[in-house]
Amino acid sequence: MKSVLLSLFLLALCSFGFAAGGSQGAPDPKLETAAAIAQKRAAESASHSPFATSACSFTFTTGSDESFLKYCVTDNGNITQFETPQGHEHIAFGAFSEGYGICDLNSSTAYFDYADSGDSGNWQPATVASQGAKSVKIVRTTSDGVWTLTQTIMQMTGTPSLAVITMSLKNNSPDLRSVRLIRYADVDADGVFGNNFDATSNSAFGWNSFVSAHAFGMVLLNMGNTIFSNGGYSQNVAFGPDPCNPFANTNFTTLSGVDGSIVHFYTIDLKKGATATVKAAYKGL
Amino acid sequence: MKILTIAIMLMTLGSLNLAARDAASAESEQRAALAAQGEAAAAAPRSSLATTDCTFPFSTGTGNTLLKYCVTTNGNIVQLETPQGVEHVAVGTIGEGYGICDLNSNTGYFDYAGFGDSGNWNPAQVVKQTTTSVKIVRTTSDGLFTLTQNIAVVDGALPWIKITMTLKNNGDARDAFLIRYVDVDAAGVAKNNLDTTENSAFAWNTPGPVNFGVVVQNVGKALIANSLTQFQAAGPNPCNPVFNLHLLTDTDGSLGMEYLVELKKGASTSVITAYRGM
Repeated sequence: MKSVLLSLFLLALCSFGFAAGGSQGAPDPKLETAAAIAQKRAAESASHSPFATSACSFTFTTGSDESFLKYCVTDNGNITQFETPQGHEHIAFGAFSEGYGICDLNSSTAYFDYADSGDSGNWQPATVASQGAKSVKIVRTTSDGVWTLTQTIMQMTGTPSLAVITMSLKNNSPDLRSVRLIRYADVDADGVFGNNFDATSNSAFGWNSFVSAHAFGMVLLNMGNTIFSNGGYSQNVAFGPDPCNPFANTNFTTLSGVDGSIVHFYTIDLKKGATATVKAAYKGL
Repeated sequence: MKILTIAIMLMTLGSLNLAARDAASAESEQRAALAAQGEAAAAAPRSSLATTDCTFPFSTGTGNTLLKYCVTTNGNIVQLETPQGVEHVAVGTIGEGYGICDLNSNTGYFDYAGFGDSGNWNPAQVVKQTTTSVKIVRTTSDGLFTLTQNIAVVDGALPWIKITMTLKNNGDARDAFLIRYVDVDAAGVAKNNLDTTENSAFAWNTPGPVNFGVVVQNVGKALIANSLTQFQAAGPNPCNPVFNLHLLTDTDGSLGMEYLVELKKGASTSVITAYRGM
C-alpha cells in the first residue's frame, strides 16, 4: 500500500511539474560542462600563494536524516566541503571555493583567502589555536601585521544543523581603521553548477528549484545582533569578490541557472588595538 | 555652464520623477494585491468558528534576533514578526493554518484563518499553555481525525517556530495528506519571490530596503513530505493542492508543507514544520 501511495504521490507531483512547464528541470549538460571549464580556468588563473589550499584538515559530522551535516575546514579556515542532507554536496564540486576577505578602507588594501579561487598572498601562515570534536579555532595575521583574524568554526546540531563561523577581527595598528569583512562561498547546489541565487538583508542563498532532480541548496546567514552595517548578496560569478570592490559582480536581483556564489559583508570601524566579532552560519535549504 | 547646470537639474528631476513613479506603481500593485486577497477571502467558505484573533502571543530576542508571533484559539499563526519591525503574515488578509485530506473518502478539512475554513471541525480545545508554547487539540466533526498542534518558540541567535502536528486516526485504517500553509507577505509586501527545494519553501523580497523573508522547512524525521509554493495567497484545497515547482517572482503567493501519512486504525503520526526568518 505504501509503495502504491508513494507512486501516486510522485505521479501527482510529476503532472504538476509538467503542468507548470518551465526552464529549471534537469541540468543542461552543455551548460554544466561549460561552467565546469570556466570554474577550472578561473581557479587556475587566480593568484595562489604557497599557503592556499582546499585540502580538508578538520572534518565535522552531525545529525541524521534532514538534519545531517558534514563539513570540512582547511588549515587556513576555509570550508571546502558542505554536505547536507546526507548525499547532497554543495561546495566540494568543481573548484572548492569558500573563505574570507578583508578590505582595509583606510589604505584600500585587500586581503583574502578563497581556497581554490585563490588568495591575496599577503597573509602569514595560519595557526590552529584549539581543536575539539565540534569546533576548530584558527588564527591568522596579515603579512603587514595590521590585522589578525580569529575564526572559530563550530557545528551546531539541530533542526537543521548549522556550521557556525565566528570571525573576530583585531586592528593591530596604531590607527583607527575602517574595514570591510567578507564571508563567501561558491555554491554548486547538490553538485550542479547552474543554480538560483538571491539574498535578503540577513541571508544569501543558492539553490535548485523543486522541479530539478537536485532540489537542494544552502544559505549563508548573519546570526545574532550585529551592530555593524552588514548585508547579504549573491554574485553572478563563482569566484570570490575583491574585498575592496565587492559589488562588481552583482546586480542585486534574483538569478536563475547561474554558476554564482553567495556573500555576506560587514563594515566595521575599529580603534587602535580593538577587536570586532561577527557571527555567520551555513545551513541547508 | 548655465546649460550644464540646467541639464543636471533636468536629469535630477527626471530621476526623481522616475523614482516617484516606481513608488506609485509599487503602491498601486500593493493595493491591488491586497484587494484581490480580500476578494478571495470573501469568496472562501467560513464557519462561525473561523478566526484571526490573536489569543496566544509569544516573543523571544531583540533586534535582529526578535521573533514574535501569535496563535489563535484554533491554532493558526496570525502574526509573524522577525527581525524586529518586519511583519510577514499580519498583512492584508491573514492566512495561515492546516488542512487534511482523507484519501479514502476524498474529504477535505481545513482552517486557514482569514482565508476561511471547511466548517467540518469541532471547536478547538487548549490543553496546555506555557510561556513558550501552546497545545491545541481539535477533532473533525465526523470524528474521524484528531489534530493536536504544539506550537513552540525555539530561541537563540536564529530563533524559529516549531510546529508539531500529530494526526490521530479515530476510524479504520486510512491515508491522508496533512498540510501546513502560510500566506507570506514578506516584510509587509504582498508580491514576493517564492520557491521550493525538497525540504523548504521560502518567500522573500529583493532588492530594496525591506528585503527579508520567511522559510518553511520540514524538520522532522524522513516522512514523505513535499514543500509547496502557490500562485495564490489563499490556502490550498487539501485534496487538490496546486503545486508550483518553479521559481516565482513578483507574485502574491503562499507557502506550505504537505505530508503523506499512512494511519492504521487508532494510530497517530507526528510531523514537525519550522517557520523562521531569512
